[in-house]
Amino acid sequence: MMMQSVLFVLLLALGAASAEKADAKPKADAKPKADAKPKAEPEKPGRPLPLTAPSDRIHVEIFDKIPEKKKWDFKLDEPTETFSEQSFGIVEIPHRYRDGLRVDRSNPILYRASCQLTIPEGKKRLLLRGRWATRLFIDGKKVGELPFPHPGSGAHGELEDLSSDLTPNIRQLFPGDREKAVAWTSDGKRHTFVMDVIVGGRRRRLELGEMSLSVAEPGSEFVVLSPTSQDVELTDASWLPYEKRFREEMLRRNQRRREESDVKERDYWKKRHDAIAQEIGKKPAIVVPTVSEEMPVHNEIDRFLGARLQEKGLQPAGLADDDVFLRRLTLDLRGNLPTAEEIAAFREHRGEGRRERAIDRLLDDPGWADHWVGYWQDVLAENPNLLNPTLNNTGPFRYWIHESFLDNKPMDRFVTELVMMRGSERFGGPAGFGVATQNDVPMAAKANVLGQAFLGAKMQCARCHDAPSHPFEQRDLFSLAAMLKRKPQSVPKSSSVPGTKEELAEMMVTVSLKPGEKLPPVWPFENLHGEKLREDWLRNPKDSRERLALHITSPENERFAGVLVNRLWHRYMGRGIVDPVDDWESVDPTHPELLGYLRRELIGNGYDFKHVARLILSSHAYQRAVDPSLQEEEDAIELYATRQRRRMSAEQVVDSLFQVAGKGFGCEELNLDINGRRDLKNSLNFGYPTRAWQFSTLANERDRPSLNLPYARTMTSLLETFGWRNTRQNPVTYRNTEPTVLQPASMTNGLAVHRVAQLSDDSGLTVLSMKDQPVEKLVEELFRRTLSRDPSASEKDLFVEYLREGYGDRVVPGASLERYAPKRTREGISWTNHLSNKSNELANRLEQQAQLGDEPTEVLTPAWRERMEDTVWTLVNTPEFVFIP
Amino acid sequence: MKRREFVQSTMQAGLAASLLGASPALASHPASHGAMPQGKAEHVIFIWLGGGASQIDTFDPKAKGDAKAKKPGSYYDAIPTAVKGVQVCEHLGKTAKVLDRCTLVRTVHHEVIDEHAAATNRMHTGRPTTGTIVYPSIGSIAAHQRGPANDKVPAYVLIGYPNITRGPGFLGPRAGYVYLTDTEVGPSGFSPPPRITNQRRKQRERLLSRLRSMHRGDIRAEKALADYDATIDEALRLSGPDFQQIFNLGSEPDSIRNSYGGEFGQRCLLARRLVESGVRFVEVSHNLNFVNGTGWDTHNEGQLNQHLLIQELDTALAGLVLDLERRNYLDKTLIVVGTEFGRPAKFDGRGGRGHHSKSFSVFLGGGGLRHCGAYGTTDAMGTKIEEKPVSVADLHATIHASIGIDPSEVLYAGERPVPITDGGKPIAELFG
Repeated sequence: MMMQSVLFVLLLALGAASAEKADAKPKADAKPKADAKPKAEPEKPGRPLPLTAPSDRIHVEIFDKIPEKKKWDFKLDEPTETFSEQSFGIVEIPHRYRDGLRVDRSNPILYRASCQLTIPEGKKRLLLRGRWATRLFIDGKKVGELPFPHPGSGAHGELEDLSSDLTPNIRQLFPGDREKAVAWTSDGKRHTFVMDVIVGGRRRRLELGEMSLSVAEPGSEFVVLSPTSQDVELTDASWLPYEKRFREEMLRRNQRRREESDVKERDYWKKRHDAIAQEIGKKPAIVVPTVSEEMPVHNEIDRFLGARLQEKGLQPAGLADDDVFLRRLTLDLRGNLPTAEEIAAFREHRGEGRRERAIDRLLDDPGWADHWVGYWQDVLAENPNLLNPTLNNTGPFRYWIHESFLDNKPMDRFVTELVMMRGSERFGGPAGFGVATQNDVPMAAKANVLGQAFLGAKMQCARCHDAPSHPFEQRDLFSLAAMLKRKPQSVPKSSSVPGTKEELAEMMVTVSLKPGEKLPPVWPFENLHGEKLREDWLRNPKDSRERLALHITSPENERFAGVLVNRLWHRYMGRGIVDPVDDWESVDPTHPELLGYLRRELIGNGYDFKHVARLILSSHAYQRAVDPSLQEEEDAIELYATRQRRRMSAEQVVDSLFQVAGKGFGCEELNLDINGRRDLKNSLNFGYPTRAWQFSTLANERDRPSLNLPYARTMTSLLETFGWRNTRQNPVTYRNTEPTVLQPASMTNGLAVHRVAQLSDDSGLTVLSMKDQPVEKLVEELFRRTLSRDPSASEKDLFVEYLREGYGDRVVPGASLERYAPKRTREGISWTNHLSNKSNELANRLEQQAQLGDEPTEVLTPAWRERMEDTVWTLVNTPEFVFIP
Repeated sequence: MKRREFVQSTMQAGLAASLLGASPALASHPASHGAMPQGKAEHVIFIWLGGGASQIDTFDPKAKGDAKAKKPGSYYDAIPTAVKGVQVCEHLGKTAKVLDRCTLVRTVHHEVIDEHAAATNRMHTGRPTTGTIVYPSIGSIAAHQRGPANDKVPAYVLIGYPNITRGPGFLGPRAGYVYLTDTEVGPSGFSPPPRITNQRRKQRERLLSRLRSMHRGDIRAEKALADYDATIDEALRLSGPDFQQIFNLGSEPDSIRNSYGGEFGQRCLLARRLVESGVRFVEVSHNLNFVNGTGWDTHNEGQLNQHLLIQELDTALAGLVLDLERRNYLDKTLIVVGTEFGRPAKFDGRGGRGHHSKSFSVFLGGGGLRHCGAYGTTDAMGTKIEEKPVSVADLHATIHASIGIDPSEVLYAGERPVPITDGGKPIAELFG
């Protein structure tokens, strides 16, 4: 409520009160002055600002709904939210969540950061940096400001100068940021610092650039102000690792914020799941077959499979060895490789239960979420664009997928949220799923996605005609579309088949709906779930979209649970119990009883994906060895007698490669509007990717060098080669896995792999190379790092021989490592200047630079370093590397 | 026959799935509807003027306007060409002299004007986007239908930035492109990185071959592994000297290099070399944004130096026509100069031009077609079609037919039939 709301007139800073006066108190009787003009500043006393603040942290208040103008003369109500920061170096605002979903703030907002700080006595310089209009107050007195940003978003501007000469090693400005240094003398006492920033406006993204407030002694570097002892300098060497920590911590902070925001939701779902569990408890137990003693059994899954193997007289392969198991498991759960340390720890943990422990550890790893995002991006046709969305684009709901799996959201809740399409459309809420740019029936497209993803119902043909090989009619698809649309859906002209009546009569397909015909919002799949719903589970029974969500996710809809467990099974076991997993109409399950068992496990355990995953991963069947001779036996593959090797997915290849290198991707920010000047409808920012799923199309349909991101392109080229899609206009479960010559080509010669093998200062392999150990140990560690196993004797000989020469003197005396990775800002090339000649020429230079890859480190002798690089190159190019055993 | 042998031999070598072995479409040819013209060309060089080249300032000149006075019309004077009655802009003087080997299709049209990406997609795939499948680009279709003319090279090479609209869509990666962005560097994936000397490359290959040979048995035992392993040798061969030699423009005489002009011309020269080596389809993107800032997207001040772009195009295009002709490749190679849309006759607030898609020009040269200098007519301002409209599907059909692909043939996206063009009809007058 606004009962206590305090109205501020921001521009009336305390004039009389000296900035040196430490304990100034707000004057209780000060009246806000509504009609203040900028020229009055800062003459009259007023009560504009907090004159006290915490001294152990930075108190941040966000004020929504401030006016959209280039003036500070507005009043403030209560802050919409408050939180804390540790330092005045701030690169991100935590997300706002409602019911666990990202929601948009108003635009613009006022961001106020306040804190009491004690700065040692003496003459100083204060430095403000940031991209937005900013004012700095000390004890209520304005001491510095940054002007309002340039209003233009056109593309004909000039490249900004990002250099700064304030100190010798100062970090250059982030594109779009400005700076202002002011002289200031500290009396060594405690003062209240307040920074007011108007973020956004003109519908720009609410990004901060590299906002900071820092202080410098004469002759030294600026240090970011902080109530805790962070000691971050405004230099590359100090700021970049700080920024990395800030962003990593932000992931955890956002997770806590989600948790705080969705108490009500969790309660709803818990009640729903408790009710389901009770009902399931009353049902007769599922009969599990018994199997002979010879049949290896870890859990019930093996009994279901074993019974069938027994019938066929097949004895399954034995357990895979520990190294194979750990590689398989880690790639399946985290999407990358076990580290050398993880392999060592796993080997050391002798005795029973260590495989279970490894499964539990990896199920808890945040990488579980990363590995699921790429999967659902494909299945749910997540298709955002960096630039002007026109190619059937969606919003970037990748972030919602990621957060859902980080939080291990129950799958029925996950699907309900998807169907409801709430939250932020452009910044990572499931509302982004609801978008389909330049599509004349977006909700039909979405219905098709949902059908394939969760009902095994492939309805894409029904967009234009009744499906010849499927039972679906156009009516089904358009009824679902109407439910999503919350009103009758009319059939567009494009939803037809070209041709005359006679021609159509000859075709195999029937067009049962006429353009213009209207379909009401009615659940079409009576066979999966009756029309009747548990009304008490509906929050708004009149909402057809919510009804649709419940029709899909209700426990009575066994198809839904079946499709979900089958997707898990397919992912871990290499084929579906029902295969294809997205099209159930024409095939029967190979193991219907097992499917029923897994389905009930999912339904009865709160739709917890991890519960069912654990069952599958713990089974003997999952843990079996790859036995090529057994693969040739009839039915051995269909009955899971042996495992087959699977080629890594594109994301697994890229994530594993850079994990081997122990370096970040080092790409540009995935953002063609890095200085943040465009309308948020026309430019998205996918940030600096740290996992492969975060890449996106690079959207250079304009063929302009200045819109080219050369480092990112080396990564997306490699990803595409291995089957990643840079556009996902349609849902896909089965990616193309054909081997093409481009795959080994991009591994042998591609720049991404070149950078992986390149021993640069920021490479973990450089650190490994410097470790004081015999060359034999180095080779062993390299094998574990790349192939997750020890070398054979002959392999060891081959590489020890190659690396021995010069090994003793490999480290260059006196050389030191700069361990931080670069942050590529393209020197400020951005949409607003991309048509300038300078930008295009600079872009060409940056491209040439990228072609060279990373700078080789100077801490190792070039001759030996190159041999080490050759070794790494060889190990990642051996076919074994790109396969999951 | 030869090609068939190659497909078989690569099958034996386990290479069937490699990009080079992109097999002719498996779909059987349905009986053609009516008499679909069949050209005899073997290759396409598709020059792409990204941004939307102004037809009224290039291939379809009209009465001169005045940018300052906001009087609509051409920005330049028109000049006569080798074909009587056909004029082009004054900065296309070299192309004007060889226009008898060419046809300016002046009545191409579609309805996408608001967005470059969407229009680029339309011109490359011939269709609007849908939410159900991703359509292949014209280059990918050519690669898929005809494969390379020589088994040692890829079917489809892109000189420019990769993007969705140039991709293989539902045809899958085998119909994709090999790309390069810099003629000095060579194609991505097939040129060893700059810091890797030849000696080091050999050293690496030796290590890899020894390591692979230690696992020969395991690799052969599993098909997926064996298939992947087989492609490695092919990749290594392509990054070796034979394939790399194609990219060595330094081996061309200076006179030839100069006849093509600057960096864009060198791209066209490389396209000729690729075609001669057997590449089926080469897309060459024009990359000279820095000349006028905007490239062909001549809003505002972008108009001021547009003539420099046109001159560079003129030199390269005429150079390409004459060089191909000298080498007896002109009849075998269709040159297409395309763009996502044209521009209106009127000027914008700062003397440039907006977008216009109701009528614009696409250049066709060589390819054994019966050329007529210009096809189709537009009104006095070049913004409305008066005669002989050519849809994007018709344009694609013309290009496909010129290299012997039936534009009505049906491809399959999974089980869904998708004709190569949506009812496109080749321009009949150009065949025969």
